[in-house]
Amino acid sequence: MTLYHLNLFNDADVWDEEGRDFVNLAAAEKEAVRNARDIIAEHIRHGLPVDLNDRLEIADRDGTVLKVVRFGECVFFKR
Amino acid sequence: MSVHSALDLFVRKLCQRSCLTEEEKGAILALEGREAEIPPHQDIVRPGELTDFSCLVVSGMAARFGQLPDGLRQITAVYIPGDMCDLYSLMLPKVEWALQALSARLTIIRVPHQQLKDLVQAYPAVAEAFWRDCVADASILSQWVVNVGRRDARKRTAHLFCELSLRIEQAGLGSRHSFQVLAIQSQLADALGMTPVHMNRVMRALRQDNLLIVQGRDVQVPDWDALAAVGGFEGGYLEMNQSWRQAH
Repeated sequence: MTLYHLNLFNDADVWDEEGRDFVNLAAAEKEAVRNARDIIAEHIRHGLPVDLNDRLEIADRDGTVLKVVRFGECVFFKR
Repeated sequence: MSVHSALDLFVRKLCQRSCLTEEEKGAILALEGREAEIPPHQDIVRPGELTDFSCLVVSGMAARFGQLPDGLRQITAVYIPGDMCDLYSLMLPKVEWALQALSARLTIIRVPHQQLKDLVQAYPAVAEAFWRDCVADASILSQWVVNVGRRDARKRTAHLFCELSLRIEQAGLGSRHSFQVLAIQSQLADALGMTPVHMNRVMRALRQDNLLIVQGRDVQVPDWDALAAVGGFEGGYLEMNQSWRQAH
């Protein structure tokens, strides 16, 4: 297991100080998508705008950013 | 905290909801069990496991959880020192939900069901007190369902911290303004049906509003009434002030 930090950058920047253990980076990325969708859903429920450029950054214990997950990659719209 | 202190806390909690005589309290305090240290995230009782004991929290925090067939879990209750987490197991020794250690320093006492059965047969008022404790547990669960289903993330979080603060205060383990929560944020997020990053965001906003300050395990609530107003918290469901009720 490896410790990864999921840091949020949207209307507020929120650093994940505790971090969590994941099997690998792919598992952390899957969790980042789930977390982003949860925040997007809350915005939608309250009629708040969703900025598709907001992002979650996955960093290792040294703070090195390993992967960026943008909100726009987490939701799909059909017209 | 010692085994005896934990039983003291258990009696104290029962007496907030029930009237017990000194003899009845003494009989509860005489319970004996096997002390165990449980590592974090480890199950105390697995889903579907047949048990012949109930678990009294001595120190740290434990959680009840439900589990889906694919292994996904949801925390449905948290327990603090002095809580007999699965008193219900005396009547239902095999259930599909289970118990897990939340904190790094969880200590429990496994109290044999036989001792509890002997106790309630000898003292009907203790049986009533145990029953009332289980009803209060169900009352809290009922409130949690409303919390998760009907409150938004900010209200939900405020509500949970108000509940924990009152329970910890009533147990004599802190004050509603200053206490410790021996669980990590991702576990609390799970209990609230939220993702950890989302909860982090809510916690930051509550901190900015000077409503809730969490540093590690230490929690400060500068204005408890204001936090309760945010969460729409009313503590009646905790059934903590029922001692007026006579045990007959």
